Amino acid sequence: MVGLDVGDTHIAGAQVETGADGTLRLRAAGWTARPPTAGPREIAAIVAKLFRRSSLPTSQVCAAFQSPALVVKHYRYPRLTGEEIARALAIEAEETLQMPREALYMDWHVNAAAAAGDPLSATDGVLVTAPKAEIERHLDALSRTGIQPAVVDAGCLAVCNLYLAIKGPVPAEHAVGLVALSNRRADIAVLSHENGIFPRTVFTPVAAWDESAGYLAECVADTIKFHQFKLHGPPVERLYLTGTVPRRDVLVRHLRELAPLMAFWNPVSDMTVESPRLQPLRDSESGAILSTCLGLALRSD
Amino acid sequence: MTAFRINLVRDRPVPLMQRRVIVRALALYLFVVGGLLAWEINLATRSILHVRRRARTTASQHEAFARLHPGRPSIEIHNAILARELKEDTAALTAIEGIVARRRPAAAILYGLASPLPSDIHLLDLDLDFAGGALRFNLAVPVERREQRADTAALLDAWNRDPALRRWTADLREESNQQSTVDGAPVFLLRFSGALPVANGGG
Repeated sequence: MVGLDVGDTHIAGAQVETGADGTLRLRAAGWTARPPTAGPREIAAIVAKLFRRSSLPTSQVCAAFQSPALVVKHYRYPRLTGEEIARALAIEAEETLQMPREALYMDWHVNAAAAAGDPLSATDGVLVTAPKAEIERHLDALSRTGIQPAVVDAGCLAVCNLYLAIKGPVPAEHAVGLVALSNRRADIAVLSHENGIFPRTVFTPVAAWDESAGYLAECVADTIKFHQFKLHGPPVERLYLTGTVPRRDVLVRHLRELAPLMAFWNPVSDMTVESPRLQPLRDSESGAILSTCLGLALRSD
Repeated sequence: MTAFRINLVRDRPVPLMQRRVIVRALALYLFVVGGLLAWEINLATRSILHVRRRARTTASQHEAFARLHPGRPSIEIHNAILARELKEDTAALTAIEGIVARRRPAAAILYGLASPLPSDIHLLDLDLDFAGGALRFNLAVPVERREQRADTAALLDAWNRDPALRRWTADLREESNQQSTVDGAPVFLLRFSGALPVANGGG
């Protein structure tokens, strides 16, 4: 599977192989800047050029849908059956986007801890939904390059998948915070034991995060606090920042109090890279740009 | 296996254009596979019929064989016996051929020398010395024949053209002639000689 991330400032693609011992090997990767005014035709041309230049196959692609219209939302209900969850989430998606069910694409994740718990406990997880028309436009743009994505995922969950594949499961005593940044968007997720997840996506109110690092730090802090005090989750002990990180000094100053162990995470440095062309990605921070598409490339369905 | 497996297009219907391509590809695939299957069935049926025909032929051959050779238990044993007999016959014929090959020069030379002779000229005293490689013989020519010299040249010419004599003899020539009598009749006795290049043995 090739992961494709059409972000707001860059377009990135990567292909990852999983070894028999679970180690991840970066087979091919590339990224290019996305012009701010690029339309579907220009994006298609950029993607085609990127795949050609990076020797990425177009046969099996998992694409991220990055748009302000994408809703990645935590839900919590009393204990429900699978069919009841589907109905409840359909109503919730309709209410959130103010659209009929037929005009939406949606999918959801049920947190394993809740699913396996006692029958009286609550059911919680993540609802992902977006307007059908927007996703179709996105797919149409990709189909111009001959790419028909088999999977369309949310970038936030792709980064979480990547973290779990590289760092392993989260212990029960504490949670892990993940912040995947692009110039105008921040995918924040708190991962807890047994694949529990509390996600939140925020957008900068100004042109880029460079000008609103404080606001970003507040959003991250709010998410972590909400997870701990409202959802009664374990405290976040480690916080990883990845992607395009602006004004790191400001973020560090604000977030250090919340998570004592905060680090900038370049996932490529935890992977095997054989191609000399890709070696620089291991050592420099530029490998973090690929975080989302690396997570997408791990999908095997 | 990833922990979070969100797929927003899980239930998305395949677009019409893509569906057309898939349907056409499937139709083509079914057509090709169906054709191949029909062809294979045809070949298998032919093969089965052929085997059945051969089985019937074999059974009838066995019945005919049993009628023709009541003492022989099977065609295979009969074949083995015939093969052994054929081998023995081949050995006998090879031996005979060797003997005939050794005898053939005498008969061939005699036939070759005598065949061009006119009826009143007789071949006498043929001496084939295979061991010494020499050939000698006489011709008795009636004295009334005046064209004796021309006869000799014609005979030598005929002998030299004869393939058997060319193979088994060489250097045929007249050595002498003298007047003599054969059974009281006066004749010219022409003496001829030649060489016998010994080939394929002599005797």
